[in-house]
Amino acid sequence: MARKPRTGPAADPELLILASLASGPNHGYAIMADIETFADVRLGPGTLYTAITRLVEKKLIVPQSSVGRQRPYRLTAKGAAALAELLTDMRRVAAVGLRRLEPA
Amino acid sequence: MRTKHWIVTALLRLYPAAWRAEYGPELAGLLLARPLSPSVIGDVLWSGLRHRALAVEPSTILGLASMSVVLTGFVLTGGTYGRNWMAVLQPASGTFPPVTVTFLGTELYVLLLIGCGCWTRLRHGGSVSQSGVAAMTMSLLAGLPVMVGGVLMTCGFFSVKFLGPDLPPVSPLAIQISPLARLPEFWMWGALGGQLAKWITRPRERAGAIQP
Repeated sequence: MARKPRTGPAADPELLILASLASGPNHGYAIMADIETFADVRLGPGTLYTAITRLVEKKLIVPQSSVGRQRPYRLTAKGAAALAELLTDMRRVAAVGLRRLEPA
Repeated sequence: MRTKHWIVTALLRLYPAAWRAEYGPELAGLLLARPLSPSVIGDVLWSGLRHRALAVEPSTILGLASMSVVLTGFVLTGGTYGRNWMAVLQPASGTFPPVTVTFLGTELYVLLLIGCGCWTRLRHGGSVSQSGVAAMTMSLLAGLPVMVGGVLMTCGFFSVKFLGPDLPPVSPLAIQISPLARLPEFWMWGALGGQLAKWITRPRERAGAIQP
């Protein structure tokens, strides 16, 4: 039974894939499993490969040589910079939001 | 297991051939390695259709849209004008005489041609001439109902008569070639769109060239 996917900026498939690949090259199935573990988001295979296609087109990740049917993807320097920028922005917004939620 | 293979193959066929060649084996491997639940099938189905829609050329999208407007015009004119579908084609002085479809003679259509050239150039790059060819392709698609109508007239399936005084008889050949006769003009508008896109993207290309 598939869990109801989380929504919001932290559930963006492109962001999640970039975050997953930050720990090293990985293939589709492993990326999907990793995302489920660290973000509790279950990406559908179609959604996953749509996001991978977009990231490859933007040159944020690159495919490496295939091992059988599985092909690992690696984060590029541009991808790492984009991920760092995104996460820094999110952290700033999250910090402000959480601070304002605290009782005075 | 054979059924699963069959479903996976069918799902992959939804994707454009170029995408399938690049990512097909990986996606197939992933789908075969896990249970095929309805939500997984739905996700792959939706994604495949989205890829398919995105792979369609701008000229095809705009051409089919124009064609549907032309066909709707035929149906509405025929449906509202008389009982016997007599006023499908209307006379106009601005275009290839003596028969034209009003939609193709409007300024909106010129804007569509320019838009087609612009969109093609923005999407694929390429030369201004290729943008012109895209506009011609779009017009051929849009003009298809008109040309088919001309062929049907030649074969005697229906005839067109104008109700005004002293109007010349409608030649089926004129109807068939009218969309073709204007192709150079369509190329010109498409090329103009391509040139516009070139001007739009030039500052961005320059900025990209300056960056290390």
